[in-house]
Amino acid sequence: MDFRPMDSEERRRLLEALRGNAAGASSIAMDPRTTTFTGSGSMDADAPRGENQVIDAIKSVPVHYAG
Amino acid sequence: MRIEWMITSLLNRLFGWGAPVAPAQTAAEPAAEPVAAPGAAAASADAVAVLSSPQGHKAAPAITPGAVRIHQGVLNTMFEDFHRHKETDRGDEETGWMLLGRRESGEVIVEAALPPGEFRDAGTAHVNVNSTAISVAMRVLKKSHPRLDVVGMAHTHPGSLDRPSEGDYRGDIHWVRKLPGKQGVFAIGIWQFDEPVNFLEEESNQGSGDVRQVAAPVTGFQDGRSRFNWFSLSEGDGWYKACPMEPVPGDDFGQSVREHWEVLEHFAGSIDRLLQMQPGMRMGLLPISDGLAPAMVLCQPLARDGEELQVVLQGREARFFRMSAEEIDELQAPRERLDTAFYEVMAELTRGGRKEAPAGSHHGN
Repeated sequence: MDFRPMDSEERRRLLEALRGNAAGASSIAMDPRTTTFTGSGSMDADAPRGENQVIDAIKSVPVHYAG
Repeated sequence: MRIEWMITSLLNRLFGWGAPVAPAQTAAEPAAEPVAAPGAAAASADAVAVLSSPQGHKAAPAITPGAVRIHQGVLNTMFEDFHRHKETDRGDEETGWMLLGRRESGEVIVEAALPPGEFRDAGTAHVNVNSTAISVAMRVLKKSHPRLDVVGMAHTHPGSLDRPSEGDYRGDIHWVRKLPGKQGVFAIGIWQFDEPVNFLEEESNQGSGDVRQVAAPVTGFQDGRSRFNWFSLSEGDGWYKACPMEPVPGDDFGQSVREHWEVLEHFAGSIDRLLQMQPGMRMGLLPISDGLAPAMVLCQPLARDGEELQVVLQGREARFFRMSAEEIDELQAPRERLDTAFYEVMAELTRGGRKEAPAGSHHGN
């Protein structure tokens, strides 16, 4: 495994991806074999959400009132 | 499919079950097909656009652009549940359904309605569904319907309040942020023979401006005894909007878990904790068999290749089995809460002829 420090360009791209992801505008792409950062992409609104997100939504359902 | 063989073999041994029978995928015959009837609009505080009979869409479904589609089976479920609920000793309480479905190209389709659960907190003016049981049910359903998500919530109001209340809005406007597309579909059900209820807050808001008005005609479905009006709410909205609805042919995808609801809800708290702490654990519903209560199984892989711990849940009973290709051993479990008993059994399984030194810190001098 290569543990070298990121160069300035890689660091800039990662920071941009993290900021975009935090704003909900972009996804962070990762190599599943090495967990290396590989770039960012646009959010696909139709992509199925992760199970944890779905469960979190269910557990957050508010009380409903008649008045 | 060794695991399926194991479960079938286990059932045969324990209960003399025959070939597995797939859980029914369709709702029971509805008491009355939801239909639209003239005059419903006059009964509503808001204008109600009542669609033609949902039954009529079975032959030639025509999709209205922008409409939220809803499976006919889901509508049937909601009406049947509402009728049954009114006949119980909790019939004066509010009840509700978690609406599940998916969003495709900005359009929503409602494919399942899960019940609020027996352990719901409800009264004549509120309902808080058993979200733990619903979350466990959702994990089950996601296996066969991976795109299933939460798309909204339906609940009933006593009396004639056939639209969301201020209290509903205060909770929903925050909740929709967690829904796909940050938008939710909401339905309000009323029992048409209930006496009008004088809500003080409702009265006090009559002259408070436009916040409670729904601009466009509201879609309503009714079956002669009850009615559901449909709304949508998006992040940042000042109030609910009318939500055009289009019934389409399709089952209620929640039917399979409904048949197992009693056992699922009874153990839901422990199952929920175990699934969070045991990422390798699998969960499944066992086939329904005549004369036996519905059952479900939790499967936890063990360290030895091909072995796993299976926990069969039926009624209020949990039975533990160590499964391998060669044998099935029933294990004694303490009479504890399910998740506690699970870890007691797992601890017992790890004991044996190991040559490792005991773990733990030494505090001696």
